[in-house]
Amino acid sequence: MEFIVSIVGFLVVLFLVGVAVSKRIKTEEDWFVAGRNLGIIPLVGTYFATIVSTVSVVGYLGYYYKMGWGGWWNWAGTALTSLIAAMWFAERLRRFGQVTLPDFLEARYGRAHSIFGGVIILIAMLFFTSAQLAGSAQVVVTSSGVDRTTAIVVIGLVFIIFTALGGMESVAWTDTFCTVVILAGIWLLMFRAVGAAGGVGEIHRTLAKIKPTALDPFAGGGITVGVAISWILTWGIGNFGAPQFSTRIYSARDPETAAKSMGYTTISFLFFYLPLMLIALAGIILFPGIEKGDAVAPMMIGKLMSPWAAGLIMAGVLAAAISTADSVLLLAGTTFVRDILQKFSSRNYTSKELLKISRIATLVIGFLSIGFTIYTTESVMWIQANMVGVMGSTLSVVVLAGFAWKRANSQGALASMIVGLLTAIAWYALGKPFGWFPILPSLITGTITLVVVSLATPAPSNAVTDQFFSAGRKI
Amino acid sequence: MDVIPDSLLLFWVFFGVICIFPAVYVGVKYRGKTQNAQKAGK
Repeated sequence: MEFIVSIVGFLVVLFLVGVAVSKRIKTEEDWFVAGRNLGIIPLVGTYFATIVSTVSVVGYLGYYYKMGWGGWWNWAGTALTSLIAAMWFAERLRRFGQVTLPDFLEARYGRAHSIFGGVIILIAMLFFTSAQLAGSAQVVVTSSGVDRTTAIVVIGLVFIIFTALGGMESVAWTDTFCTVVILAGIWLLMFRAVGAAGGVGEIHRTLAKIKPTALDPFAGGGITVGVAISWILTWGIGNFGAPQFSTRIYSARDPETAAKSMGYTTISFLFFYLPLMLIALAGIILFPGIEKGDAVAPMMIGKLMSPWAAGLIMAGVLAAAISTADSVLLLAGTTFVRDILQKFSSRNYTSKELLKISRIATLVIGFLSIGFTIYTTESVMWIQANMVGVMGSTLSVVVLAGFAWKRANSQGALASMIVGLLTAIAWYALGKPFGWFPILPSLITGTITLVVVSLATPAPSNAVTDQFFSAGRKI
Repeated sequence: MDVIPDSLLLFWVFFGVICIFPAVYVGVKYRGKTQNAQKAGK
């Protein structure tokens, strides 16, 4: 009962926040990029909540339980993305000031790149929305015993409606609310678990005796230096191909706010991953021998917390799932309208028409994802799990090179995108050799292709490069 | 051994740097810009 009340209460507040904020939406720019008026708090909140999903809470807790401190390498890449963005990328992308990642591809390389990127993003976001909705429903089913279809429909309706009404503005503020709920839940569990295990110092002293590999930065050989580097590069560079990252930069009030928000996100990640690690380390001592990683979080929450506190923590897990789902649904709607419909249609839509079409498209895509989630199959789940990797493999090299290398041209970029995509597909077909994610080999083949083809073909015109390499350097 | 085991010292320094440095960097970089803009009456 406590679980249901906590979860329903959370969903009601989330819905009210999303709908209340949506009243500010007047134009299509308000909807796409929150009127380019987001400050540091909603930017950090929405980026954090979009990156942190159910997998980050439940999956990573289980992973840290097995690996100890060495497991932390899995988020070093996410921190690297924020570092590069804060020091160099965010200011430049925000100054460019468009709406979507394909907008950048079109201005820097050409229309074919934009449409190619748009189609890949739209497919990836459709599947990703469905995956996150499935994750959200699972949290509710596991904790309250509610029927799966009911959970999918209710949760789906909540975030689909506020996303369609309020676009980026609603997503940013509901995500910020979700960030507070996620952190509150994680810190609550950390205080209880670490307290029960005798404090941080005692946990380390005990682990030194019963599981010393948990105190080794490479998990006593469980994680090689190569795997650690592949984590860092895969996400550190691969995130630049993720449109949910660029949309948040476009939504910043100005280039300075964009860069600052990226600088502060790394601290927000520390506030999440540090307590998560301490919970896992306490779990090794308090509940030894749990075989299945995903069972660690439910076991610790169920055994350590009172029903109401457990309800709040489960609301935090649900918040992690919904805040990722609404962001990717918004991207699917934005990409369809901005990068597919507007680029293929010769008609000039008014601002009001675009806003209406965006809302309808988001509702339709959202309802499709509900159906998709209810009637999912194993092959659909496989595509869901891997499509985001395919997207990063296709786009990250050309996005970074667009700002980093003046000589990168249209032909080189198109060849790089195709080779990156094919490498990712081949890597999955080969069963992910060396345990590497496909983004890493795609980064290598995509970069080589970009350099070779760009140098073998004419340089881009000054009219193109001046947009990104002259004015963009002055703040 | 206390709160931070010796084996994790470098590891922690690495994460400390990649987490704290970006915030310090943007803080320092834009503080000057904002002050200049204020002096110029912008």
